[in-house]
Amino acid sequence: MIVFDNVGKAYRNRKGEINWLIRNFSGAVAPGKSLGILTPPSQGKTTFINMAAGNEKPSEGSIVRRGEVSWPWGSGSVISSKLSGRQNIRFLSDLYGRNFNRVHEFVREFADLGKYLDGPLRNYNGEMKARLGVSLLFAMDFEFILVDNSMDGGDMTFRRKCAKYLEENRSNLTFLIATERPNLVSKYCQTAGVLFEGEVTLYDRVDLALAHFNKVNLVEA
Amino acid sequence: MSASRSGSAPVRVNILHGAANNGRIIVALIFREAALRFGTTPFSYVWTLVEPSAFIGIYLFFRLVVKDANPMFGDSSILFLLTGIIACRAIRATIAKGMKGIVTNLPLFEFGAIRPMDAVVARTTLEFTIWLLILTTFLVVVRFITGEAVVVNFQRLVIAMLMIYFFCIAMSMFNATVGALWALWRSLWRLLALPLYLASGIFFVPVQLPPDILTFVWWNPFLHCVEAIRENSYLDYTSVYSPTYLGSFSVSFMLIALVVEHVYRKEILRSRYDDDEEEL
Repeated sequence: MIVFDNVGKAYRNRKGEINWLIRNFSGAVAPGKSLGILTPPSQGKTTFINMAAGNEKPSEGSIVRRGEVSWPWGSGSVISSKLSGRQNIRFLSDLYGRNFNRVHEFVREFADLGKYLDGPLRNYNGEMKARLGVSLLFAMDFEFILVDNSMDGGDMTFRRKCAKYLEENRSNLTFLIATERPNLVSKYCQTAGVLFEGEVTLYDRVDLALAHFNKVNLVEA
Repeated sequence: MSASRSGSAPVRVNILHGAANNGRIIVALIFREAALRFGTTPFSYVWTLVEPSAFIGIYLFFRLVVKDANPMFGDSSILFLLTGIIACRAIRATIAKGMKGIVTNLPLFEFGAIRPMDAVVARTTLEFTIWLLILTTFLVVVRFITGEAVVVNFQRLVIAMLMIYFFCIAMSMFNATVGALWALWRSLWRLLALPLYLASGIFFVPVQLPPDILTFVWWNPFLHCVEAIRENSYLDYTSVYSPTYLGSFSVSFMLIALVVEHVYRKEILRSRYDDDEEEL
């Protein structure tokens, strides 16, 4: 469970004025009930997901994480270019207390990097790095997966593989998605909300959130 | 909101669970640091130990053979210099590496699981372990060359080493946080390095100093680190080592570092130490 209790995040601009990206947000992501937060561009998606990940502290209120929360999908920082694929797997397995052999085996099969997996990451291209990153995210068996805007990564074949994996493991995965892409929310979430001008409006039904988002997104555009 | 409000047993469970989690993260970071430091070849592991050992070896050779230095205390010049130089160099090198724990691992703090201080502790621990291995190697070699006992109280030496390790962590944390925010402290730290090194009892026996000077140099924490090792390497050594002072100093600096990190984490993560070079 990820619980947001009256969460707010503000930044001070160069003139010294306080700008609230999110304010007075209370809500929860319960296991099996994915939440999608729809928001137009530059309205605080990354800040919201970073706060959920524990990377940023809220300016007010609190966030309680019960259960294992992933790093944001697609975050390049989880893998180091100075290490080999194998060393990266070792580090993340140790970090999250997972069995190295199981994780290595999963990534070997899923990322399909062949002999490159044991080689240094400097020999990888961007697409191969993305495949390794997403495979590691799945291999960790997180209870909650955080998505910052998109679930892209890898070539078309790999994306199909990911979509198939997500479909097959739907019952075990809970997402917290902050995005400007309505199709992600309608595909993976059971509840949704709209973040606009610092205020989050939550809806029990995704279609209501989509309707609200379409309205504010049109205004924003 | 959290389970900790429901009673003392869950609080204990939470603390233990949190400590176990933190321990696991630090161990993972230590192995990552080792992989980054040593690379993938066994030669790199050996070189990490050989390089500083060679420096110490060459220095000792020049001091003892070329300059024919007399021991300031005891019969063995090599043991006197070794307990001083290695201890001091180890501490300085450990702090220098540890204080860069945040700036060299910035991407790691972007996915939530790792706190900046975890990286500082991991890096300091790895460097301290390397130097501990080097010190052990030299002490064993000296033991065989001189045929005399080089450790008179093993248990107390272990406690002394733990105190020194704690001091290294505290100073690394302090430099990594305060130093990241204020360039003035980084300059001051560099300026102080030589006087602190020279006043740490490497080349003299502190208790033989005139009382007025001793009162002054006694406040140097490096002196206490060197004295902590010497006290347990010589049977009749009169040391000025104060575990209370070294411990209090370390706790104070660590607390300041933790508070600064808590309040200014964002600013610390933005700092790039642009004006610095690796200090050893």
